[in-house]
Amino acid sequence: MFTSMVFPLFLGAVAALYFLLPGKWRPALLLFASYAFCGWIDLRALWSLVMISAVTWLLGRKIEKLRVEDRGHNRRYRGKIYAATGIGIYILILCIYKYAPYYGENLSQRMGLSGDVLSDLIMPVGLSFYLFQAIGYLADVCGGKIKAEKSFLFFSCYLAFFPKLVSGPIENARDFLPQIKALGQVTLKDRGRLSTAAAYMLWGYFMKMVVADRLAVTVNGIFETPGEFDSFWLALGVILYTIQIYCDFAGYSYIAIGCARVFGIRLTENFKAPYLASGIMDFWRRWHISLSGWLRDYIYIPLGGNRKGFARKCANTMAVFLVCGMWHGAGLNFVVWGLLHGLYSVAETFGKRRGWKVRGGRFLTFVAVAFAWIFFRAESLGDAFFYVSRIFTAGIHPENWNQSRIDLRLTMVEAVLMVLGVGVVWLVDRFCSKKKLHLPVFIQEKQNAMRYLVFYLLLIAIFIFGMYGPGYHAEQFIYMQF
Amino acid sequence: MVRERVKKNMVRIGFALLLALTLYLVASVLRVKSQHGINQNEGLYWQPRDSIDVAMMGSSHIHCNVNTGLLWEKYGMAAYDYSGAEQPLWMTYYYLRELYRYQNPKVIVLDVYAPARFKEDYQYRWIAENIYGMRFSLNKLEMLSVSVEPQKIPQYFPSFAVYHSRYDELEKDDFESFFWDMEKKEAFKGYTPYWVQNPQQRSVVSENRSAGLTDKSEKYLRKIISYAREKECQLILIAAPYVLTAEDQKVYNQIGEIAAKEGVPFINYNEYYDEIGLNFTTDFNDASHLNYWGSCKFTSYLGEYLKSLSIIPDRRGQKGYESWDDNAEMIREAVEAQAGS
Repeated sequence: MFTSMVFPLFLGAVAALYFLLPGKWRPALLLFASYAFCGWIDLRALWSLVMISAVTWLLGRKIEKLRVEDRGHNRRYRGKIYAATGIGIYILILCIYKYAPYYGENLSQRMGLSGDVLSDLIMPVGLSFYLFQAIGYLADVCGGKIKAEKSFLFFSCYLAFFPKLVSGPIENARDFLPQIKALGQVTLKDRGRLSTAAAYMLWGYFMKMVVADRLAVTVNGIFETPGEFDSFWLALGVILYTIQIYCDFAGYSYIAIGCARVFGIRLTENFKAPYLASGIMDFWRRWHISLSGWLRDYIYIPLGGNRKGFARKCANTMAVFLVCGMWHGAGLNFVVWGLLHGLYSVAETFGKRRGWKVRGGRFLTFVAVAFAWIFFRAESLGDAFFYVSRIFTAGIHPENWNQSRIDLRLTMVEAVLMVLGVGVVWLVDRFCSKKKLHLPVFIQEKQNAMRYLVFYLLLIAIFIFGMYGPGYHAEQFIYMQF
Repeated sequence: MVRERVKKNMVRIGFALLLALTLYLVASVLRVKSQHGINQNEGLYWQPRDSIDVAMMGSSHIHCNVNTGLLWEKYGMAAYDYSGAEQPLWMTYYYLRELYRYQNPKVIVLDVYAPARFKEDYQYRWIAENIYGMRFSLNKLEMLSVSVEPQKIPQYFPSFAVYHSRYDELEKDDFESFFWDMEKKEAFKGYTPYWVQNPQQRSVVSENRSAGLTDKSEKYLRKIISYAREKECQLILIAAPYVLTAEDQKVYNQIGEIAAKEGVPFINYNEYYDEIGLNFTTDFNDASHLNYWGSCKFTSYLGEYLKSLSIIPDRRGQKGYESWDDNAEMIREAVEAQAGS
């Protein structure tokens, strides 16, 4: 949605209204804009969002009320039942939407249903993200960590906020709600805020449109017909996908953070140079941070975390990664992906306990993560196994490399652009990692000229080399021999 | 404090200008160039204001067959071939409006081959040639809304989104569209002749019925006629010579009737093969177009008619019309190059 041509216009319009209208109208404006954004993508998704928001808000208030009552009367806490019911229903909804389309066809046939009723159940946009936020909210209210939000307006802003609606970050209500209530204090000329917001967005668009989408063309070609490529290309495909998914997801997160910043809202950072991680635990502190944080707070810790012995810690870890895999997708390949990471974590914990020292941790982590991505990218578990086996059995055939390159429509110019793009991202990540700052914040400290130079370069790169538009194909018109 | 603020603003403005300049240069290079209509369209913007006296409009039957250099050298007519491949009349209407933003011609010659041959309400085969040369404007948006179905518009607009990825297929002529190439750009008047000789069968058509003009084409034909009337410009409808069919002739008959009612001349040059002196063995590139030699004969004959109207002034020797001398020179060089090869 961020990369559609309408989005910048939409953002500009909302931002203009935001700063023109009185401060106390801001939450309402953002909610309206978010519902418009959601409805424009899919009306069904809007209906779903409003329903979940209403139900969660009501449940939250009920649980809080019960908490106060039962505390006072020293009774069994009835709020837990409400919370558990709500959370249980949400998990059920998630499962239905995730698994129904996947198994829908088979089930429809077996049940004798005409048409594909079940496989038509497309997940409403953002559901996985706002349901997790709703679950976290109910758990927090139940546990007394946050007071239930009295205002439906503020609460629905929390779930619907359009920059994070589609792909997160998964925000915690404790961080987000206070910001929504303080919107009136945000001023237009806040110390470089807009400039930082612009930098986040431009960097995100660069990562997504120039690097990720470009890599995707080659990666798709290889994963579609892995049987036609030798080990070199298959391995290359894995590496390229590893970079692609990072640039795609991190890019999207940066754009979300930048958009939110326009309005004076700070979203949690979601990525911190993950491929510079020295181990798998470190990786998960750098990759999709908002999700791993959620899993830690609402699954790992409630299960006991590491407080119930080593064996239990390993079991809890595996459970968390099982959920993580399932959250990402319906197929068994996602489960395997999750479990692989679980195994990696357990192995690392075990190794650490024994005091084993590993050299080349960064490289190993990268390889381990890259390998696991095969299962994430493949269309099915079978495809993933086929891919893996072919890497080891296809052999290396340099004589076919040029043909493979042609089959993938990978021109020399595109290859160079790919390398340059990836190189820029890698250099920036390394540099900013050392400085412990993200690029947009880093350049904010610098002189104007330096900052504008970065904006200029990013803009030109996106305009020229971004993967957008239908493309112009002169061949279409050469065929006529007039 | 104020010095700081001024300095900051100067830096901002500086970078904004740098960005604009870069995008201008990049767009000039990456923009699509093609002699089937895009160059003709884009070439208009390089012409000196209010200098074109007669604009030739329509399909490729214009820019392949009407020799602007000959019209200049023989009659002193400042002519421009403002046409595009298979251009439907609804696009010609907006072309006409675009023309009048920069020029004030006394005569418009409109070839009506496209409405005679092509009957769909949305024609996509050569539409790109009629879109990418035009500058962004409300006029262009209106043209797009009428020529392209709504769901297909993202395939053609914005133009930059379409052509920005051409960076790996650039040719020499992609680097010749900057403002410092003005003289060379001015010298192009739309005429792009063919140099091959392909013998054709002389068409023998005797068709008296009149039918086949689509509603959409008729609507825009009438809009063109009234627009020309409003601009007090002499509109002349023609059908340039080619190998026509009976179906084409039916439409020409219908157009002839409309033209007569509206008081607009319509000349079907397919009735004058012999008077023009066309040789079906040597003068044709293909069934649809004359080649250079055929175009010279046809242009000469057309020029005589235009001269007889006594509307178009003889601009030879006049200041501000040097680009037409350059055009004639350019064509002469092309002829010599062809003779050499």
